[in-house]
Amino acid sequence: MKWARQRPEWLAGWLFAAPAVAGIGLFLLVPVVLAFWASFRDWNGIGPLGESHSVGTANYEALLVSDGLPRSDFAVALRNNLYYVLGVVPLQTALAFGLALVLNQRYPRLRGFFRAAYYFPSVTSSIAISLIFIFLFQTNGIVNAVASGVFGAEPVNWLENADGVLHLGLGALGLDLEQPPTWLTGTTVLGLPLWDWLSGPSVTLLSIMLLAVWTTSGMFMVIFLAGLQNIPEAVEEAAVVDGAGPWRRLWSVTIPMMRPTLALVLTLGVTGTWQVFDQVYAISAGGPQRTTLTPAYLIFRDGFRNFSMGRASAIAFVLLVVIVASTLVSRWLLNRKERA
Amino acid sequence: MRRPLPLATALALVAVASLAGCGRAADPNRLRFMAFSAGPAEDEALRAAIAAYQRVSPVRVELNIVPDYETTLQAALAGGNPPDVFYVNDIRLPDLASAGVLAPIGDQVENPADFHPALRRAFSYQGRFYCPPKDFSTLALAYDERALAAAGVAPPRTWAQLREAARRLTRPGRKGLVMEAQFERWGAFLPGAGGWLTDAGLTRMTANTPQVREGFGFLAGLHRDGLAATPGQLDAGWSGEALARGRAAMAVEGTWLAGAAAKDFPHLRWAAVPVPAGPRGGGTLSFSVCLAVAASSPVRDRALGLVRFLTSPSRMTAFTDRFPVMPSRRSLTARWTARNPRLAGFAAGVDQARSVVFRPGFPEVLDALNDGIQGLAVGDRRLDEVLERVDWAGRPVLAGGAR
Repeated sequence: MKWARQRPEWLAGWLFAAPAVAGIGLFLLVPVVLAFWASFRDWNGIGPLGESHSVGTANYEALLVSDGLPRSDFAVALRNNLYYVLGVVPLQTALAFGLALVLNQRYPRLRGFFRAAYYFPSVTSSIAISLIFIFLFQTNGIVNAVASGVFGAEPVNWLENADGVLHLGLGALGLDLEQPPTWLTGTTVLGLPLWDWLSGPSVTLLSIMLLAVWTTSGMFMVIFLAGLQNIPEAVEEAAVVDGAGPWRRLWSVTIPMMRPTLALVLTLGVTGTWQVFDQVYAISAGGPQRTTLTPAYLIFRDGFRNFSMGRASAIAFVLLVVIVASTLVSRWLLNRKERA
Repeated sequence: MRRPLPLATALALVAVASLAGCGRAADPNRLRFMAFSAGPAEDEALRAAIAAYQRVSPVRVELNIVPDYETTLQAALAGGNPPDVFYVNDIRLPDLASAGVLAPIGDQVENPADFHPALRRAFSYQGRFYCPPKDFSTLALAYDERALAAAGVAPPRTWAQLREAARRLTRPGRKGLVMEAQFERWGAFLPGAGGWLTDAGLTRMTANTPQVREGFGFLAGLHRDGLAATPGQLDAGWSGEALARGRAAMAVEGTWLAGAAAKDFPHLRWAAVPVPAGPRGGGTLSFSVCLAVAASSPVRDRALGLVRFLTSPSRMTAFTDRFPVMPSRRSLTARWTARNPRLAGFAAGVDQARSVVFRPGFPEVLDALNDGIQGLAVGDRRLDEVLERVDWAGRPVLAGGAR
């Protein structure tokens, strides 16, 4: 008993934390360290990692420096995912914010119903949702039926269409897509011509982007809603007393006070969209013509299908750098807006 | 609760928790067998085979049919504790064999010379025959009998006849031919042109040659002229579905079409002829799965016993009678063809069949080729550029460069 009383408190603290620390260490830290180590080795993902050989930085060079298929695939994956992030993050944030504003109006009963309804997609299996979207986006599917019924549009092949949206737009403006300007085709970055970097998302990737916006905005709406309900009513009332109209209140009171929530949603959005995998896996497997290949899918393909686990690990760490960098950029944009 | 949990108890709990799950007592009477299956029919055939084995052997076989097979197998192998017996797809063989995880048992089963030579080659790496093929499938030209009869078209035997048939069968709402845009279908037309992606010794890329250009050019032409389409363009999940829904009259598909047709579209009246012959003769692709024994298995002898049983002529006959795959033994082919007259078109190509097996690291070159084939099928890539690119992608892999 005396022994127990003399024992320092920190020991008890560590003891209580031990299961969590062991869990995080075992399932997070150890795999991360092992993956980092593997990214410098020629590991095929089949034999024991210890029996693989060191290849120095060859895996990273194959992705970023050496001319070859791995660099070309990686550049295409980066391009696709960049368009995916640039399209999905602003759209889902705006949609979620708009929905939250609407739901934050006065009808508490309806609020409960719509909150559940919009949140539903984010608790549904993304594979199941993807399969439903495959039916919606078929050439004879509902999307085309509505588009042709309402707008008289020609049916579009959504799910096997590698045409870049920006290219299509340039074509509509009269640019000859068969003969793009030579300064765009001649200059290459990471082995990919500028013209290909500027393709925009393919039509198929665009369908996946729409799916992602629809699936995730419900979850972000709930976060926004929580943020909105934290804004003290007194502040809103003070603005009303000062004679501010609804728009003025939105821009000068609500949005500034929502900045922390907005930062959270943007960070979650950017990190999530850079890791898109399941929709690609279920809908397109990286095709058509690599236009839905993303770094996360490339990790899976190279590591688990093509037995280049070392290079797949290297992709994971380059992706980590990309995610950190783009999160910083999004935070910087948000802060800059506030100072302005 | 006045006292915190005693330290010793906590440590013991952690130790027990971390030890549970690790370690496996090597029970010599237990055999772990991991497999995949295309559906309930194959499940049942496999279970029947295992039940037959349990009647003659005291070894308890634990059959594990896994859905996401490749990933599960890789994780089990990397974890160092793989199942004792498992399926290996021919395309995975070079990577697995070069990693040293397979016991080379191909020649230790009954009459190993009886396996089709093409299949022996597919499951050999650096001269060693690693694992006996359990059965195999080939590609053939399947067609809708009613559609051909209505159009008065005879089943095509040559490329010229195929093109003519596709032209006469194409009408609004229906294409003459449906074909997946991937090398695992398009490759069936390379032997007909006398071409292949590499030379026989896998030392040199030969994708950018007139022969390959002729083979792929023929198919690209069918697509360009609107006589052929991919299943996706026809709103179908795969070619068999497009055929069954009447959106295409002919399809290049494998033996598995028989199982799917019986189950999913019994109304379809179909038959198959060999892949039409090109200027340099006939040919097709084969796909096979072998029964491998893990190099690290503590019960290798017993594992070999199960493989010998399953690949014996009598068991193979029983299995391939229940399920539409072809026996991998030459001595059984004639009997199987007689029993399955509708599938004769698949069996006829056996002797000229090639497998899509190259060398470790090559699957990513096939990915690059498949991108190109997708572009050729929709007409937004040029054949020369696609073949040049595949050649470029494959050269460092054949040179044994970075994996």
